Amino acid sequence: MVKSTRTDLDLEQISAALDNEDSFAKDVALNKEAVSHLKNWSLIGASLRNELPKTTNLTFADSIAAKIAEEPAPRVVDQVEVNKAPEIKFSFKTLSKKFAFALGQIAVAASVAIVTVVGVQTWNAQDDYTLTQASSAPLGPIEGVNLASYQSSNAESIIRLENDKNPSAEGRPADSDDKVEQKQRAEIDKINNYVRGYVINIASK
Amino acid sequence: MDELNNLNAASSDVEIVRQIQAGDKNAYNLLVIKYQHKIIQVILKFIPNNADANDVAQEAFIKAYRSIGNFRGDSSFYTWLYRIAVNAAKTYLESNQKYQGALDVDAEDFDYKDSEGVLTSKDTPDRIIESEELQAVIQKAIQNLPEDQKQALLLREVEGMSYDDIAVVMKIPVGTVRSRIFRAREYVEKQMASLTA
Repeated sequence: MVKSTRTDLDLEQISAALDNEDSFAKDVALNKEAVSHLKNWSLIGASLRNELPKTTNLTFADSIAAKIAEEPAPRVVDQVEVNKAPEIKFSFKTLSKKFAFALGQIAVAASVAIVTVVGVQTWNAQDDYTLTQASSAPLGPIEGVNLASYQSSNAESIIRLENDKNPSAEGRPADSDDKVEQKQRAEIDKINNYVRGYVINIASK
Repeated sequence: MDELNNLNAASSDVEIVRQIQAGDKNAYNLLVIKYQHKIIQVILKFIPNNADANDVAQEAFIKAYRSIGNFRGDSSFYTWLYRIAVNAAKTYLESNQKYQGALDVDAEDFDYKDSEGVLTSKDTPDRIIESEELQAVIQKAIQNLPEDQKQALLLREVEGMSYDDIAVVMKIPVGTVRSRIFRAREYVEKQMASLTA
């Protein structure tokens, strides 16, 4: 029995593969006969679809194949590698830089806080006790002791801490307890104001 | 059915792309043979010089090969290749004074999807002698084909129908469609041998 001499090349399969109706056999691209048929069949299809240019370059694919042969193999981008989060490396230098930076930020924040607190306190103090007020506030003598040379000439500001409850020999009517306490508080406030004003005055010099 | 055809086309090309990505450089030749005429046709829309268009088409195929590692199959291979070709043509136009003004051509004006779901052009340029001669030989061979083979081949190449669709239209088994198209191609190929040899 004579064995069939038919080539292993299945041209019908190649024809179907060109139409996306079958797969190309392995290494078919290396078979010159198969490639030649594919070129011609591709040309027939292009002609029937009026896709041919004015002139047809029959060696177009060969030229590209020659250039591709000189090219390195394509590098497939590993999508897993692309999507992987970048690895963070810790080093002493990096850590020390980060620590110094954080420390600097804390120092700046603390400085700002101190300046703010002192500023607010100073602002309030100036509102309540200006130097002028502190130095010029009238302060009457207490128990006949003159605390300041600029004491007020207002006779009503003279306080008798113990005797004001009783009618004076000078004929003034006796004050009630509330009024006396009120006067005492007012005088104490004046004294405190004077002392604060004095301290601020000294401090400002 | 068209969607199924598109999937078949895409999967067939993706299969070849996977071979190339695995290191089989020669497999790329199959894609070049398959799409060279369409790509040249697209580039000719931008660059009306045949020799220049061929150069740019070659450049586009080389660029596509170099980038094929990035191809993931999100679109069909031809759509991906088409974009590379259009970009290559535009880059070429920008760098050549003689084509200034030609960039007014909008690629989208002639984009549409053919039966395989891939982008192609709407019309064709005029033919000159070489192509006309080849086309005449092919047309004459087609006319001489047995009617069943001619019909199967034209339904495939001109109408872009799948073998399944052709089988339905012609009321024959898919295997018969496959063999008729193959035999028609073999016959036409023999008739044009004197031109292509």
